[in-house]
Amino acid sequence: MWLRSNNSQIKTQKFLAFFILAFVFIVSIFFRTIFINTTPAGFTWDEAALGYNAYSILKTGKDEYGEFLPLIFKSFGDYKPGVYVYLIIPFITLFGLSEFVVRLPSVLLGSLIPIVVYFLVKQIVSQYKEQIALLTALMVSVSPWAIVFSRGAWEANIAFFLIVLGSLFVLTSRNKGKWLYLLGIFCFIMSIYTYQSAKIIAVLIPVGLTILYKQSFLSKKRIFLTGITLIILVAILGSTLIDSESHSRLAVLNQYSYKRTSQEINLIKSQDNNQNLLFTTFHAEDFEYLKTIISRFLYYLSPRFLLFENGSDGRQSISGYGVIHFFELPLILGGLFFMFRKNLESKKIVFLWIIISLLPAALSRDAISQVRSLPLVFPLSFLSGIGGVYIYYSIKDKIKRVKYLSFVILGFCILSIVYNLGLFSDKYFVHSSLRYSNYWLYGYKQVVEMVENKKDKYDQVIFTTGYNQPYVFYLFYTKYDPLAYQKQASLKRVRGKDVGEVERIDNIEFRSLYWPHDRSVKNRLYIGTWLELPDQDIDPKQSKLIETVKYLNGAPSFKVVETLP
Amino acid sequence: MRKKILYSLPIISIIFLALLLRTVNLSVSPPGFNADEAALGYNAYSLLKTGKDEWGESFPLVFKSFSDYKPGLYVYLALPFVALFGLEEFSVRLPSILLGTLSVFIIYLLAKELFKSHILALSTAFLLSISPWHIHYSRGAWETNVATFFILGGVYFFIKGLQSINWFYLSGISFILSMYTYQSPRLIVPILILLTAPFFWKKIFTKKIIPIVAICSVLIIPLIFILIGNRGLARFQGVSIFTDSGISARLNQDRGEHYNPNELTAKLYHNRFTAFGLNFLEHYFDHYTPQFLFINGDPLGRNKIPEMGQMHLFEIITFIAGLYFLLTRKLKNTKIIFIWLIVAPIAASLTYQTPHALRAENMVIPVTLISGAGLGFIIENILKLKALYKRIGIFVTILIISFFFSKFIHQYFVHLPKQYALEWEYGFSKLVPFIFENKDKYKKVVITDRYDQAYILFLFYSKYDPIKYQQTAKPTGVDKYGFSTINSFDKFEFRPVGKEEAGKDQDTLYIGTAEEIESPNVDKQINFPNGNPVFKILDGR
Repeated sequence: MWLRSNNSQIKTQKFLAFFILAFVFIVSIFFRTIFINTTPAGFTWDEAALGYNAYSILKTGKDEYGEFLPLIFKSFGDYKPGVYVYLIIPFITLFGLSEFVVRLPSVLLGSLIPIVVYFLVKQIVSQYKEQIALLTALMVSVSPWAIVFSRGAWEANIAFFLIVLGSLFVLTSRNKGKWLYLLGIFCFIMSIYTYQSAKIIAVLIPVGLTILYKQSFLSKKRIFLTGITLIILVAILGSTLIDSESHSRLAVLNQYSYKRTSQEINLIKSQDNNQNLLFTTFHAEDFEYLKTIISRFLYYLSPRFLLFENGSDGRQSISGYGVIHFFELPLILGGLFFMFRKNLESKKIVFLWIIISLLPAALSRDAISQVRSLPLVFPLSFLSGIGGVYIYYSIKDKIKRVKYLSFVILGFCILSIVYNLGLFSDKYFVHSSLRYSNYWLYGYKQVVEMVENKKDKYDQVIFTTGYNQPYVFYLFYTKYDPLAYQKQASLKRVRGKDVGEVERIDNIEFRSLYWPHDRSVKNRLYIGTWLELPDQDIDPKQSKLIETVKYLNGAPSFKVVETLP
Repeated sequence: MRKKILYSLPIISIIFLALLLRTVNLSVSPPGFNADEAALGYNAYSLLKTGKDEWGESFPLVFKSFSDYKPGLYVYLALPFVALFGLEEFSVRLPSILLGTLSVFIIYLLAKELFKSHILALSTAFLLSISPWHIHYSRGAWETNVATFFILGGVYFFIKGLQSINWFYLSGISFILSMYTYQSPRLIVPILILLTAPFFWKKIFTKKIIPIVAICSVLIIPLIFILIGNRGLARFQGVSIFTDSGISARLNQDRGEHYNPNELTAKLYHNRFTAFGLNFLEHYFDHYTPQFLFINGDPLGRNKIPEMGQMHLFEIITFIAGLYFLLTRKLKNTKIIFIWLIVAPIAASLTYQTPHALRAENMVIPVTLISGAGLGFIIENILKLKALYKRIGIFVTILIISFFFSKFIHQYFVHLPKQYALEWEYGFSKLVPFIFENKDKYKKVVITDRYDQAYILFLFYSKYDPIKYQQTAKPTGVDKYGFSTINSFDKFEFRPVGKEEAGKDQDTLYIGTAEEIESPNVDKQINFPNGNPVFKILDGR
């Protein structure tokens, strides 16, 4: 319908495109805000830390350790890049500090990603521009992958937004103002200060785009040379800045720390009759390392991962559902098919993006990480868009020959897509929140409220570190005065862990419980994990179980016990 | 004449290489001869001697065996070799070895038809000849490997049939034979034909097709009776996801997580259709992971080569190149490769152990066709380069392939026998002759049942008289997986050996595992290749 066009048609087309884009935005907002109070079913340490640091900056200009407007926040010793914190601040001034407010930047920018993608795709494709751009935007707006990370305070989601936006500016600068190129570079630099793992992507994507479209950039050599130099410098500077402060953490992140066990190696050696030459030829460590990287890299592109993988972290996935919808698979395959069949120009950028966005995930320590591979949403949705549009145009004429066939097919497609989206909603909003509430640290909020109400009645409150970083939840939910906290803030390094711990705030001590010892100290309030405070060991003469907090699936999480005065 | 020889020299050497890789060191790796192989062999032997199988049935199309009702063609293929060379491991494996080698030639012919290029056809045949997946199953008496050969033949003659319709006779017959050989093709072949036929509508649906369809229908009638008669499906019921109780348990859990388990959405998204559908898809896509294809392969020991995927690691490159080649060139009939690739693991995905290299073995053909096209495409492009680059290119290609090939040989012949001897039921070939030499001294021989279906290996290695066996055998009922076995025949009892019991009775010979007979002082001990004991033999004297 867009092909045969005269002036008045162009107008209606533009109106129609705008109308559809508005619809995409509404869909996008819808999936990112509906049931936000119950899904995700909890609030993580990182989210609480981002929120409290923003609160602290707003009130005092300093972070929780008294650092004045830092670019990188020390937090638990994991040194969080700071852009997200500053993004929260305006919303706190407007609405006060709450879980939703901390998530708001991610929700809003996440909802905008489909719109940015729409303009980006229009810069890339030449045939069926409007259709492919709209379909791609729609695919991003309903993408489970994008939705999951837009509903929590995920720095990766903001970085993804900035990378897409940066790419849009860089590509637009080819025929419009060359300063857009530097604006694009600025977005990429920002993404480095938003999310640690983004730095490889933030450097390689602008470099790759510039090389891919070097013809159009040749006349503006100076600008793009400046831009590229700038981003590389910042990346090096930024990473040394972060690395030097937290290199112990990065050492853990290195994949080399995942070697075969010496048992495995000895078994292989003994089977080789301890001939070292055989071992170094066929079983070298580097060879295994290469194999792991290749297999991880390709696994992210396999339908098994895309449709079913849940991985080991319930925060990053939907129980029993993958990162794309089932109906996307045929569209992606169709997109691949037509990209090669028609030799589309866009295939270069698709493959560039796929390869670059998988590097941080393939090189990292976790076998599967949906959050590190998040930028893959763009090329996959783009392929869906191309697939959908080209499949439509290649079968359109054939279908028209048979009466009513088009209605049957259209009806079938709409029904299955609606059913599929329903299935997704069921798995995510109903089941994932129940099953994964432990990953989402459900229970901290209730427990902190209880502590806050009762702490003055006891000599001391002991709060378990069994679920990690309780102090930040205490600070966050009680909106603890930042000035008062900065005075007592001190982070203790913990041997064998990549983050540190805070030991006390006022009369609250944070440590793991040892009940055989702790039970005899009088007039204390204990908050422990259900394992630390077994029911049969709570002696009514000495102590009283006040409450057992349960996860949404009914399993116990916290137990609150007081010892009598 | 000389030209002709020169032209066919490469494929002849590739076939020779294939035969070599499928026969060399058969006694070392795989490290043993498993119960299924022995069953095929002994049933062939029984047919030869008595005209009946081990259960006393004359010339059946389906062999009851361990109540798994094995499709029977393999037994009949092994029959002449057993008659010629006697009941030996090698003669039972020969059908698989020979047809596996012949598959390399057929894939060469097929690739030539599909790709219209000699180099591409040669590289495809070469990659099949060195394929870990195909070599492994060609070295044992695996029905699936013969079935793969017949499906390959069916597809090849189908492509030929598009040029001259009479080839469809051979195609149909070949497809049908595959269904009499193994379970998976009974599902895969019909789907493959149904999905392929519409693309070649005009060439297939002519008047001449009628007699072909008629003949095939006649040939397929016995199979329909087998399938209706419930026996054909016995094995399937033992392993299928439809009998997996975990799925309905999860279904109940899913519904229970809704506010009201009977509300519309709970029923709409959690019913038997969605539960089995999603479960099937998850198993299905297990077969397309890089881990299965290139890195670790099948998780079951008997199907596995340590540290190897089903394909060579370097085939990642050739596979991607092949996809590129096939998608950009508009070669007419290559769609059948993709259809086959999609269909191949369907039967295996209806079972709960996935990925399953054995049940999905026919997948090796489409993946090798793609990989082979890729290798040929790469070689063609290297040959177009200028002098020095060309030499470097050829050198690097040879270097990469030789490295991964020698890694495979190393894994197959050094590590596999030491790693998976247990899974391959190593040790019976040494145990049985020893027992039979000494059995007359005892009234009773008790043999541990820790190793699968030990009785059939006893029958096989002793070439026990089928008539005598049929008279004394005491079978068990079927277990929850649908298997049955034999408790005792003659003076042999198959049961766990009690720790107290071994060595107490003067007239009984005990054969147990190392856990069952802990005493180090035994009369004889048989060891695995890695030195651990398989069997400890002890009597009361």
